Parts: sequence; structure tokens; C-alpha cells
Amino acid sequence: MKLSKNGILSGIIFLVLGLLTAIGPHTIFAVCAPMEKGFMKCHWTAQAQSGIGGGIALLGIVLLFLSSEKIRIGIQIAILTIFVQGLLITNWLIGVCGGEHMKCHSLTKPALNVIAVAGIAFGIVNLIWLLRRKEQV
Amino acid sequence: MKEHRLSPFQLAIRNLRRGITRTTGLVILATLLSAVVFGGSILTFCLQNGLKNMKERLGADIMVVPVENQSELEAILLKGEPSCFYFKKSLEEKVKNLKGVEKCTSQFFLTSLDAECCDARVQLIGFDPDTDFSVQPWIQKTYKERLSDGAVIIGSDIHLEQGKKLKLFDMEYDVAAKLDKTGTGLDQAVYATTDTIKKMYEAAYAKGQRFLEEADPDFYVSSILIRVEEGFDVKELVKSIRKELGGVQVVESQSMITGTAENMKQVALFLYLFSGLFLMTAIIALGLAFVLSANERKREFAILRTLGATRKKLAGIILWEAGLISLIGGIIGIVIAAMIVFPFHVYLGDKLGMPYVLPPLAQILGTGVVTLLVAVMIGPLAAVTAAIKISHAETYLIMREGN
Amino acid sequence: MLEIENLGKRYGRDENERWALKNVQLTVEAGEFISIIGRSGSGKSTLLNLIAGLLKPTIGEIYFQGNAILNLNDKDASQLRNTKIGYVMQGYGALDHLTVLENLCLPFWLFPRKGEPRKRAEQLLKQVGLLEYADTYPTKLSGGELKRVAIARALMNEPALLLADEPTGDLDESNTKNILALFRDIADQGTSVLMVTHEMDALSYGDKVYRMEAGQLIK
Repeated sequence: MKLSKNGILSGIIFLVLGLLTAIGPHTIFAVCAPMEKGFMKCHWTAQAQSGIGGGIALLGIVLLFLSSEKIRIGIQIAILTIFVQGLLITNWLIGVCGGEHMKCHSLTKPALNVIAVAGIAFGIVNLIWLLRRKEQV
Repeated sequence: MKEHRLSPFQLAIRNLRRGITRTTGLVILATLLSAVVFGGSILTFCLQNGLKNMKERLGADIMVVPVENQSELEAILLKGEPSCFYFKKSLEEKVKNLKGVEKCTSQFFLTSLDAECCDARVQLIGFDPDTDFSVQPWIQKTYKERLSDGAVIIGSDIHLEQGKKLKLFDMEYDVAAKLDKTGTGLDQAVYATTDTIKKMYEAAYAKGQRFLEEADPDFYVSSILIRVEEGFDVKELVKSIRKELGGVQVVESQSMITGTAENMKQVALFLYLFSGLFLMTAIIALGLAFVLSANERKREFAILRTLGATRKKLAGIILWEAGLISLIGGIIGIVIAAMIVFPFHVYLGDKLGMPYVLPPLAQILGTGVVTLLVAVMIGPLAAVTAAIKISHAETYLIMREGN
Repeated sequence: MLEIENLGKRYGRDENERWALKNVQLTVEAGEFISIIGRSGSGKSTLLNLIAGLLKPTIGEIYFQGNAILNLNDKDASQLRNTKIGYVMQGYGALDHLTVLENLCLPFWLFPRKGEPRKRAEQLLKQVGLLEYADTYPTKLSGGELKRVAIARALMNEPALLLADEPTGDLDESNTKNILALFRDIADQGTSVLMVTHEMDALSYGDKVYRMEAGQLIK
């Protein structure tokens, strides 16, 4: 199997971003602990992001081993839409606690947003690069 | 076949693309430099702004609290950690009559229940609308009317909008206004008149909530705020209060401000030193990299010279390369730093434990422009030695070396 | 067109003094093809570099199209080298990160000019038989092809004088003959050619032959 430089680079980047999205809200930028009345919104956002991040990481691994540029373009588009879903979950569909100084609001939410925006920005740049290469060939 | 202009600028771009690994390394260095400068500057401005706001916000020159509760008071003011403590209201009368007291008022503190209104406990501060001089001037900036009974004013960090209702102890209260951000812990507080607070207290009592002691707003207060007469020695008044009251802690706002300012200076000094050291390292590293690169490319420059390139043009190619590297690195660095200092500004402020307020947009943009200018200048500055060396190299000798 | 008077280049001082060139007199007319033959270290390359303005002499003067050129400032000397003098240097002299076509266009862009050099570059590539390699990078070309690229590039700005330093070094017999024939063509078209070489075959292609011995030019 012939690996491409671009596939390896984008694969690794999305793998890392995916893992951060999946694991981060439970560890390094963890959401609030459950209160007496049970889990708060942020807990469910963290759970959802585990799925989102896991999906992105998996697609990242697939990218590592693909040589076909056409398929990589398709997978990139999929990854981009998943990142957007992640943003919607964090900010709108579920969200986090209201208190600005609560950890989920001051740390988890911006962390997830920054990771998603970075992933989307890289994904768009890489997509444009792949599409231009396809035109030239 | 492609059309190509080959000005020094275009040649510089080609050269950068040719040595992509080296270029990436140098861009990373320039990125780190601009990230440190921009991020460090914004951090410093946030602290300066916070301190300025804190000075304005405190209002009172002296605050009197129960003897063992000074740290709780500081925690409320600086970190927004809710607390309540009480001493006898009668002490307020004693303080009022002391020489040097221009104005005197008291405040009554409560804390809300966990996760009742706002996902976390908040500080409730009751003030006397007839004597207050600390909270009302601040409120006036956003809400010009007199605060009615049953209505509250919320700090900027409370997650509720004006016109909505705040639920406390199973009762709802109208949110009359939301205050501007101060960067202090008071952004996380809820303000109401002592009458409203009394109602809250009774509602809380009915729910079985007890606030440490049986503190009745009619007979107890949490703090006494004093404004000192113009020209009167604050320390003199502090002595009188201690003598007159006994068993209380007297906190001078100025020392709290000075203390915070000192802490802030330490952080700022650390940031300046770090940025300065980094700047020096970056210039040296970039300079060395360019000299080494110029050495490797002696033959290429000798060929250009033979074709008629002036010494100035050769120097121009190197300076363009350096400028492009620092421009790209500068922009990326600012973006990366912005992705840390802005989304995480609340977290950073909480971690530093100091008043922390983002500067106005104009100042942020200005900082970005200055950082970019510094970054863009550093590259060519570092490359000057290489540029001079290459432009004065003896072409003839270099061509002989290669043969 | 080119007039050299009493040219000398000294290296070192006192006991270490060494004259690389001594008392050189030379005249080159328009369209003349002159070969200078000599052993390695005899001073041939030094002479070319002095004419090209890449080296300053110790004594003497050089006149190009009637004008003294040794005291020109860097900008004027560079412009002269760019517009009036083409230099085919020893070795291959191509920039590896530019295509063959871009290498040829390079002299055109070094001084502000109007126009588009591509047509002239393609014409020159055709003349040297390398048009199909226009978009190729120099690393893919053979020694003989690279030499022809260098010659084409030196002709880009239609110089009055072409200097060639060992243009057939490292080339096989067939390529050597091709290069020498090319120089003959160039001279016939009006460009003066001054070639230094240790190739004895060159004798039959040039109009005049000089010998360089221990820094002195002998006819």
C-alpha cells in the first residue's frame, strides 16, 4: 500500500484532534462533576463529544492508509461536517452550564470550540489543496 | 508553459519553497515569537484593566468585617467565591460618629442554594439605598431608576438577561439590570436592597436554610463600608475604628489594591522578561540560520552576480526571504495566541486570581498590528549580517571554489 | 569593441607577491571569435573575470565600446554585465530550483525592463536544440545540455560580447564540436566571442588564437 505524505499528515492531525475531542472533556479539560440533583448539561455534551471525537479519530486513521485522492477528499468533507456538528452540540444543541466561571463554561467549552475551529480551518485548507492538485493532474 | 516574473520577491518565494523544511523551522520560530509577544501583551493589558476597574469599583476607602473573615471578603472581591458572615448592626452607628468618616453604609451578604438559579452558588449582596455610596454609582451606569423591592441587579457574569426572572429560595425576582464587567469577583454577585434581601432571608429560613448563625438583617450586617473625609489620614481613622469597635477586621481598600497591583507587577515582569529573552533568542537563532543558509547558497548568489545582479539585489533576496518568514510566522503566531487568550480569558483570570478584564477592541487590534510589525522587522533585522555577507562575497573566488 | 591596455593583476605583497596577469594587451572587434589557450593557472579565467567586472585589476584599463569600465559603480558594472556582456562560466551555472526556461529568463528580470522574455528564451532554446526541455529542471539534464542552457542564458539580453570560460570542459568530442560550432554561429551573427580553453580543437573555429603563459598574453 503506497502511503501519501498528505494522507499521513492529515491523518495524524485529525487523529490527534479527534482524540482530544473525545477524551478531553473527561480529562484535561473536564466538565463539572455531577451535583446532588444529577448530571448537568455539560455532562451530556461531554458524552456526545466522545462520539464526535471518536468518529473523527477513526476517519483520521482511515486517511493515513488511503492513497486515492478522490476518496480522501470525500472523507475530508465528512470530517468537516462532523466537526461542525460538534460545534453545534457544544454551543447550541446541548451546551454547557450557564455560570461563566464554571469549569465547563470557562475551560471545556472554549477548548472544544478551539479544537473544532482548528480542525475545520485545517480541513478546508487541505481540501482546497487536494482539489487544486486534482485539477492540475 | 507557465509565465513567471522573477523579481527578488518571487525568487525569495521560490527559495523558501525549495528549502521547505528549513523554511518551516524558521516560520515556527517566528510563530512562537509573535505568539509570546501578542499573548503576553494581551495578558498584561487584561490585568491592568482589571486593576483599574477594581480601583473604581471598590468605592469605599475602608471596609470593616468580622475579625476572622478578611480572607473571605477578599475571596468575594477577587475570586467571586460566595460567602456570608455577620456582626452586630449597632457597630455601624458607632462608626458613623467617628471623626474623619464622610460616608458610612453597611451590606448584608447571603449565598444562594447550589444550582438553583445559575448552576452554581452566587453571592447575594444587600445594600441600603438611602446610605449606599459603593454599589449605586455603579448601578447608575446601567440602571438610572431606583431599585424597587423585589427586583435585583445582577453582575455581568450571571447567566441571565435583563427583564428575565431570577429564582432564589423558590421565589422569583425581576432582573432590573445587568452591570458592566469589572473583572472582579463582584461580577458574579446579585444586588438587592436590604428589604428585598430580608424577604430572601425569610424565604430561605422558611425553606430550612440556615446561614451559619441566626443572622437577622434587622440586627446584623456583613460589612461596613466607609468613605474617609478628604484630607483626613486613613490610618488615623483605622486606628480609631479598631479602638472604638474591637473584635473586627479593618481592611483598607488601598492596601488590597496595592497588594493586587504588586501581584500584577510580578506577573507582568515575568511576562516582559520571558518575551524579552525569547525575542533575543529568536533574533540570534534566525540570524544564525540565515548566515548558515547564505553560506550554503554562495554558488547560487555568485551565479546571479555573474548574470548582472547588483549587490543590493542579492541582499534584497535574503531580506525578502526573512521578511516573508517573519510575516507568515507573525500572522500564524497572533492567530494561535488569540485562540488561547480570548476563548480562555475567564479561565485565565480565575487561575491568576486577580481582576482580569479584556481590553477594548481598538486596543486589541492595535496590539495585533504592533506585534505584527515587530515580528516582520525581526526577520530582516536578523538577516542583515547574512545579507551583507552575501552581497560582498567575492564572486570570482566562489566560482573557483566550485571548480 | 573591447580594448585592453596594460592590464595586470597582482596577488599578495612583497615576498608573497604573485602576478596572475601581467601587461595584457588585447583588442576584440565586433563579431570576432577569439580563443585564448593556456594551461590551468595561466591566468585565463582571471582575464575573463576582469573583463566581466567581477574582479578589479591592479593596473591597466579596459575600454568597452569606447568607454572605460573599471571605475564603474556596482550598479553600472552589474548593468553592463547584464546587458552588454554574456558570461558562460566554468561548471554548469544553472539554478536547480528554476526550470530551464526560468533560468534563461533570469537575466531579463534582473534589471527593470518592459516586455516578456519568454519568446526570446524559447527562440534561444530552439537555437541550442533544447526547446522540449523548457519546463524541465536542470537536475534532469546532461552536462552537454546544461552547457547549452548556460550559453543560451548568456545570450538572453543580446550582448555585444560573449565571454566563455572553458565551455567544453567535461564534454565529449561530439558535444565539444557542437558547442564550438555554436560559438562560430554566434560570432557570425555579430556577437563577439572571447573564449578561454585548453581545447586544441578550438583553433580551427576562431578568428584569432592567443596563448596565455604565466599571466602574459602572447599572440
